[in-house]
Amino acid sequence: MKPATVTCPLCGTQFDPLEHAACQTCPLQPGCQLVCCPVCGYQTVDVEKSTLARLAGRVLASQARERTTLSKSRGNRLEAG
Amino acid sequence: MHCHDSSKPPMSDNNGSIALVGHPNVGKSVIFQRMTGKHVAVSNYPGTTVEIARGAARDLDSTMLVDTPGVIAFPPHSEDEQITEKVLLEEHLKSILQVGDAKNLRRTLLLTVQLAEMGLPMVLAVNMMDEAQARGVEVNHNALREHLALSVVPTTAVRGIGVSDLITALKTAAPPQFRLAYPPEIEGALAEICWRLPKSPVSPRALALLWLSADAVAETWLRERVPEVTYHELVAIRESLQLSFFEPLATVIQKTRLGYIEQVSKDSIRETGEGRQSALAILGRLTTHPVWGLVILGAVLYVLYWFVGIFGAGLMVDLLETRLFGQVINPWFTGLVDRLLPFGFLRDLLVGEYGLWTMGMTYALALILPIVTTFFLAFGIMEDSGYLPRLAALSNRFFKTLGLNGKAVLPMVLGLGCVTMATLTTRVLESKRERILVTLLLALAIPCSAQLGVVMGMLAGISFAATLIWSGVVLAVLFAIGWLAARIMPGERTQLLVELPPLRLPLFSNVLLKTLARLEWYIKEVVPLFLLGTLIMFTLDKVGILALLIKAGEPLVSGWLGLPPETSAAFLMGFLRRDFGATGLFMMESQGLLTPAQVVVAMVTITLFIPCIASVMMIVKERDWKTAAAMLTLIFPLAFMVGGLLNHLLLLTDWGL
Repeated sequence: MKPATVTCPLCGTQFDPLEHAACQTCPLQPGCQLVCCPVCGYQTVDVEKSTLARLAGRVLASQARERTTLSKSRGNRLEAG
Repeated sequence: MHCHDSSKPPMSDNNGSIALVGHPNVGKSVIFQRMTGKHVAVSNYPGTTVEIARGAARDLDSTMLVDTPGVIAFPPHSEDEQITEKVLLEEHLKSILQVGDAKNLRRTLLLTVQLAEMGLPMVLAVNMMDEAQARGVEVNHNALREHLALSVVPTTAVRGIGVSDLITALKTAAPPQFRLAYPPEIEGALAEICWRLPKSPVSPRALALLWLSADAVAETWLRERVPEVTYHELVAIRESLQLSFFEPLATVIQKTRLGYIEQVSKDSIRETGEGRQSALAILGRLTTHPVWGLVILGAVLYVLYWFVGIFGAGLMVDLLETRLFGQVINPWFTGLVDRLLPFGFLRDLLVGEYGLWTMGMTYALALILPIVTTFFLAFGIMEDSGYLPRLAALSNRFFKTLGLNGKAVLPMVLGLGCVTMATLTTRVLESKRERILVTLLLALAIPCSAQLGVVMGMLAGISFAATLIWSGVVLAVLFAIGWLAARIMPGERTQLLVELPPLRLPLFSNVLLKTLARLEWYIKEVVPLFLLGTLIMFTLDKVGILALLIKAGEPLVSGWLGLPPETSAAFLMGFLRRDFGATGLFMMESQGLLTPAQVVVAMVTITLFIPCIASVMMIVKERDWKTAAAMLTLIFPLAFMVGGLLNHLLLLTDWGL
């Protein structure tokens, strides 16, 4: 069983972006970072396939980690106090 | 762990199997895995390439569990869905276990009603309860149980919650005591049909309803099992019943079910949450209201107009195009090229009037990029907030009057993103009529995101009234052509069934990542096309054909449309991509070469053009070249006719001269 990683913004279906048969017949760029919902056909982006989005995602994730570490260390200091 | 072994024959169970049925991606396979464990056989369904997994349920005396392909509703619309129906009609089943999505309960219930009508012992697993709760949706499974008269078990299968209750319920599963009353004419026909039907694993009433809905699998099943005379009698009953209704029987039957489901949903679904969530829930309901929905849509469009038009196309373009490219980059680059390249031809190719840098790259990076960035941001917010499905539901009312409804709305909304991809998704439409009609409307009057951005940018530079005139004319053409085409090609109409997620505040990270991914895709696709377009224009200019074309187009462009002759060049560019042409017009407007009235006329004309060369290729691929040629033959003259009529109307009213 493959993990469902994209949620269709139109109908809410969660689907595996690797299974987007409709997009593979696109005359523009088959295999680009756009994917089609298998239920309603809505086109959305697979951020994992975009270099820009992946980089931004890493930055956001590292910032979130820093915030978590910071709040944990503050919590520890408060407990110690 | 799964143990897939396709070499072994499918396992069978003399006491009957349990069929796992449900929509795609609702957690059927997770439940299957939890109930069967390791011993699973995966094989193609006989005569097809569709795989079916079968496994013995550990806690149900090794009763065989059949994991069927996802199905939305019956009649089926794909080979996968047909296999699910074949399992129900042809296999010896002990019971049905429907897995439904608690977040999308209305859609789940449409299938529940159909399965319950089959009369087999049945259990409904309302799965993904955790996600529903996280979205503020509370499902009252007791109310569901009372309404549907069957076992309902809430589950969160990924965590194993409710699976043991499911096993207990399956041990005592009974046929649902449920009977939905259809209109009297249909009830009469059902009585006529039922006694003619052969013995089947499902109830005669369910089989008769499938027959009346023109279900292909049921038709084949019956043709193989009833005498020729009886089959013709069944056909006659169906045809005679159809005369009593304006709509297809499948639609009448489905509408009856939907009416019932609406009642069940009211009693079974509650949106929870306090404060902000409640305010959002109220706003969410208002977005689909016939009056308030339009008011909210107007407000959304105004914000979009302000953000994309005033901020993106005004302020950002001014910063990038006028200041950065116009005063810094382009003069420096032109100077550099002048110094380094001794050949006039090459200098012109790079930095001339139709230069790859001064036109192609400047259009793509300085003009289009800030506009599409703001538009993609706004679109991402609309997507992430859950507004888009509401827009589909609201526009469904409008499209109904065109003779279009149901699934046809989805490609039209999708067309606002990319018309080429939307043309591809007309495949989701059930009838050829709807596929052709929606393809035509998409090619004619649905502007894609990039073009919409440029149009808004140009019109924002004039006035809000200009935007209203443009949108009014485009909507009027959409309405008129849709209405006419629906009457020329009458046929079956389908229902829209879209589950509305709760309206929520968009997540900054989601919107940002989607916008970046879209921008990357756009740059990869658009920059090469803009460069190609510029090269074509450069070549036409150098060999003198461009001047001839501009002169030849003068009677149409200047005489009929009332535009400067140079506008022909922008229309030529529009053949490659509508937004490329629109950007040429944008440039002319920013140089003060167009009056407000001319801007509106030019924008209406170019909006009604074929979207881009890729969409034409897609139309040929999806329909055929004859249909594509017929559409082009209609679209181009119509675009110029409407543009010209608008020009003369504006001249009469002295608007924007």
